[in-house]
Amino acid sequence: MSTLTDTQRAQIEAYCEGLLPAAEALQVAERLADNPAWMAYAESHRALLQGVDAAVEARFKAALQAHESAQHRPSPDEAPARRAAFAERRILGWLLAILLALGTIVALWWNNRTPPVSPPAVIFAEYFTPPLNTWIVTTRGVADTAASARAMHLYDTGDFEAAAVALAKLAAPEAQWYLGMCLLQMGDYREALPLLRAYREAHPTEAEAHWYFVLNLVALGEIEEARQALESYAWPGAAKARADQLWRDLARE
Amino acid sequence: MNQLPPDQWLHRIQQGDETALQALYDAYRTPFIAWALRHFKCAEADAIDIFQDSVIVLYRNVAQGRLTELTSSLKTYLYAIGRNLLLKRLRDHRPHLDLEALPQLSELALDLPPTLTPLQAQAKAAVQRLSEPCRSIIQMVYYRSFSMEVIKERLGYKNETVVRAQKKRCMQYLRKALENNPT
Repeated sequence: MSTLTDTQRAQIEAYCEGLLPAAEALQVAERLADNPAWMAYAESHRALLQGVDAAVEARFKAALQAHESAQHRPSPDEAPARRAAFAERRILGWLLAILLALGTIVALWWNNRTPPVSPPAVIFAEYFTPPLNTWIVTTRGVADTAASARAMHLYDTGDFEAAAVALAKLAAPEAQWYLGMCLLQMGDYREALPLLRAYREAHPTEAEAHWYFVLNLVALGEIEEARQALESYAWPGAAKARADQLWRDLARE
Repeated sequence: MNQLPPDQWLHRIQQGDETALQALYDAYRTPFIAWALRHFKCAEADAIDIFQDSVIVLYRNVAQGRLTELTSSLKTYLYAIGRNLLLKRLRDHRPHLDLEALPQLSELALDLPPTLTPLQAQAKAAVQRLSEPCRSIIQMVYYRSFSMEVIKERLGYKNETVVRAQKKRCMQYLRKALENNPT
């Protein structure tokens, strides 16, 4: 390392920091590969850069931990008072819960013990769970296009509005199905239906295609059609219990 | 505070305003922890720890120029980082989980805090031992990529040549520290 001149060191540092023009960077890269002294200096400089980042962020972390303790955690003096207040609130909570339960029982009795009828939107909300992204796996190198990876990243982060815009530009059947999922989550049930119907018809063996199509019908209040769709598919394994339960709930509508 | 427009958050961080770190923390702490507890069933202490790391990753991405504008809300971006950190922790701490059933890490996963090599850990310790003005100069040059002109103004140096000379001395000190404590 001591054989390097100041100019050479400055050049290696600039290379590690990404400050060199492409042609010069290429020359330095070749030199690094050939010259152990150059390589050792580059490695130590990169370690220093990484060490700077790590040291700065360790200081940030310590500051946030101190801030958390000071601003968001009760001090030892406050703790007993907080515990007492919490216990009081818990007792009040229990009392409220008991009153609510009694009220519900009275209301049920008043209605001749007829179970409450759930409107379709409530049933939809009870059964709908957004499907996870099983289409584009961005970290395993199998994403087919940058556009689809980008769209599904938006979907993964819960930005359904932006995801819908991006997915609408893609022709793949999976893209159109996830677009339908975005629309369902945005409450645009009418627009989602043709997408989910088309996907279900093209993939008649996929349980998820049937399930979300049925839920879309439920959200639209198309109860009879939803029941028919439920009956038209042989639900596999655990999905059958879920489908049967939904069928029973719909039967009460 | 969380009503501050995203571009103003970004501007504060880009300017090196470290008070933005705590302000961000206070703005999103409570909803983030409630979200993490509800969706990941983790312990509250873990949720707090992950939230702190998420704020730091967000801060780093802005400070180092990797995030210059937001296409979604700041909250969405912060939660996306947090989600990746939570998933990574789940994978690391609960190996019996069905990994295929978990959502995949997105490209933000690349921003997870790296595991340091012995040499990098040595460098980190050396940087932590720096006193002023080296600590500020090194941080401004390498963590924030501030220009010599900006550093001159912030630290009140006479001209940029003096800043360069001071930075060189600081780096020589760091190198000596590394050479004297080889791993």
